[in-house]
Formats: sequence, structure tokens, C-alpha cells
Amino acid sequence: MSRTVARPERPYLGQKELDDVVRMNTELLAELWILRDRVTVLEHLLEQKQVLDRKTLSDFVPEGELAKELERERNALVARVAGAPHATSYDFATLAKQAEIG
Amino acid sequence: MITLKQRGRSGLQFLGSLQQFSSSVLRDQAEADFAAQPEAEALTEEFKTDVRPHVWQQRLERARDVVERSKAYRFNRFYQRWVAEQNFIRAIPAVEARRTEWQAAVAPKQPKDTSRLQLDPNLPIPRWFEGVEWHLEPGGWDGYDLTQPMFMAGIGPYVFALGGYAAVDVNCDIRSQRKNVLSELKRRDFKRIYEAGCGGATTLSVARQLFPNAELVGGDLSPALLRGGHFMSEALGLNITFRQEDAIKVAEADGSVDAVISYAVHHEMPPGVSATMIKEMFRILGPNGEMIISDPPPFRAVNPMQAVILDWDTDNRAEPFFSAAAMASLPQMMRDAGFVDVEEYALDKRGYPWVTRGRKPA
Repeated sequence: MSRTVARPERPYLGQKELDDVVRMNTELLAELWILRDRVTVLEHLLEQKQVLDRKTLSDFVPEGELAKELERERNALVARVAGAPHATSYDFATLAKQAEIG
Repeated sequence: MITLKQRGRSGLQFLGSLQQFSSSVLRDQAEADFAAQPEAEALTEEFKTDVRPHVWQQRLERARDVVERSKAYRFNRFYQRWVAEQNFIRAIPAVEARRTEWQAAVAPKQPKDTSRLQLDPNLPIPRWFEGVEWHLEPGGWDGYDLTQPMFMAGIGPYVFALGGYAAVDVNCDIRSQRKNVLSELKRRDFKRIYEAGCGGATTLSVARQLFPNAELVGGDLSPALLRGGHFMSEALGLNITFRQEDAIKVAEADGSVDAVISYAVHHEMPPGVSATMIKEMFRILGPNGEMIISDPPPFRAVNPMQAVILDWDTDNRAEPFFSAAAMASLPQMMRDAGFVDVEEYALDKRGYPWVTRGRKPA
């Protein structure tokens, strides 16, 4: 049988569930960084291959349909994350609306 | 050397940053929180005197209760544990993704001369060493065949190199620390140097820089680490002999070496084994031979908060003998073995690197 490393019984932050939440949060922070690292590398490579320069990317102001799409996604993200502790129930209509997003 | 894919690299770099943050910003805040507690001054005075292990346990429990009032400390410990686990959780898949490349890269470089690697498959492995997931590595030192690239291409440069774990202070370079410790050996004319519990070639490669003409021999229980050290040594032309053996009974004749090194070993063995090992090192040293030890500092040499942090490693980073070692007295063990001119001191802040050295009488 392969050997395993078990998580300690004693929580570090006073309560096991709190440890669990912070573990999830830290894992997400790691994923966020990995994604940001990848985007930065992607930009660099696109610039190197003369597909895109980073200044153009930074100076670009989304307009029209793209601006609307970003606004929809941004608002939905805020609602999902900031609203998570307050979402005490759900219904068909609300869920169905989410299908339009992304 | 291989490079990791983007996900593995950036994930490990994240761990390095988190550990740095935890052991600087959070640690500093935790120290300030501790200093502001009404018990801090009395505890600090109390910790300056040495006591028997069971009294240390009581002291540590009281100090821990005070230290843990700090939210910064609790998060600091949470992140320390998380990073210690994630080192392997992230590095193992990252190295697996490069298994083929690594094997293709090392195959043609496998040392043809194996005379300087002496493994003993029949060596009895001591019970205290077996079954420990050292530093939370599944399977311990010998559990993973790609341990070498895992550390060299992953955990080493992206996490450990930044310091901020166990006794190693943040932003401290563990390679420079080794050089500083070995520079504390008084003589420069050693002909033969032995390292007990060498692991790989980390400390011996530094010894090679400082003592270019000395014959270097390293002994360790772990065949995986010895193989890694031998590979590195042969690739770099360091001319080091690696031998699988227990440091309490080594294959060196009486008086056959003139310096002994032990680096970060005693906290990984029970104090009784340390005492036996030191006697064995005394045996193999010739007259005027020097022994230098570097290990985490004893509790009596650090403040209560640092002591609580060191003690934490015992139960939280798979270091079963860390606290027992910090309660023991290496200088006393050296004197009991026959060493003279025994002294101990810190080379840097927070008591680390902590040096204990002595000489075999002429």
C-alpha cells in the first residue's frame, strides 16, 4: 500500500470548517495566480511573434457588443461571489437567466 | 536540468510568495502581538534557562497559549502547513509531466564510475527512521524516484530558496548558510572530511569549494539521496565518495578523518542516537580533528515565540524529533564523548544557523 500524508486533526484557525474554507480560498488564490502568470506569458509570446503588442492591449477600450459582454460577465461574477453567503434559496427563473451569461 | 511546465512552475512560485508573505508580514505582526501580551516579558526571561524535557513541555504549552492569541500567528501557521503540503501536491505532478524528458536527459549522463557510490541493500534501517513522511513527503526520503528533479527543478529554486520555513529565516539562502557554517571550521589543511547524514551533495559540494584538496566522504541511510548526490558529484567532478551507512557505526577506521560535518541531521533523530553518533564521530577523528554541527537552535537559545514555532514542526511538518532535539544539549554530548573546546553560537538572527563545534584532543 502506498504511503499517505494525512491532514492534521487540529484546526489552525480555531474551527475545522474555517480551515476548510481558507484552504479553498488559498487554492483559488493559487489558481488565480497560475492563470495570471499564463496570461502574461501569452501576451509576451504574442508580442514576440508580432501578433499583438501589449501597449495595444492595455490601451484598448472595449466598446459596443464586447463592452456589453464584459459588463454582463463582470456583474454576474460579482453577484455569484459577493452574493454567495446571501443566496439562501434559488428558483428556476434565476437559474435560467444564468444560461445567457458567458 | 529540466524546466517545469507553466502550471507547475507558476504554482510553485506562488507557494514561495505565500511562504515569504507568511514568514515576514504575518510573522512580524505575530511577534508584535506576542510582545504586547502581559505574560511576554516573564516568559521570555523563563525561556533563558535550561530545564528538563517535561518542564520544557509545560513551558511551551503556556507560551503557545499566549502566542496563539494572535490572529496573524494562526494564519501564519495555517499557511506554513498549507505550503508544506502543497510543495509535494504541486511538485510531484509537475515533475511527472516531465518524467520522459528527465529520464532522457539523465540517461546518457549516468556516471560510468560507480566506485564512489557504495550502497548496502542489507543495511538494517533503524526503526526511528522508517515509516516517517519526512517534511510531509509521501513515502519519506526514499518514496519517490524523481525526488532529485522534484527538488532541483521545483521545490528548491521556487520555494526553499526564499527561506521562511522551520528554523530558516525568510530571505535566507540555505546554500550561503552552509558555506558560512563550514567556514567556522578552524583549520584549512584537512586531508579527509566525513559528513554524517549527508543526504545528497548539498553540504559536501560547499565543502569542496572550501577544501579543494580534501578527500570527501558522505554517509547516509537513504539510497535515493545518496544516488542523487553521487550523480551530482560525478557530473560536476566533485570527487566525493557516498556510502550507505548508519552514522552510529560507519566504515571508517579509528582516527582516519580530520574533520567531521553534520548539517541539519540531529533534529531528525532521537537525542540518544545523536549521542551515539557523536561518540562514533569522535572515534573516527584523529588527534586535533574538528567536528562541526549545524542544526536548529535549542529552545534555551531563542525567545518563546521562536521556540513555539520550532516546536510546531514536530507535529505539523513530520519532524518527529524536532522538539526532543531542541531540548537536548549537543555540547554536553560532545563533552561526554571526549571533545574539548566545545562551544555553541548563532551565526545569524533568530538563532540560525546554530553552530556547535569541538575538537578531539591531541
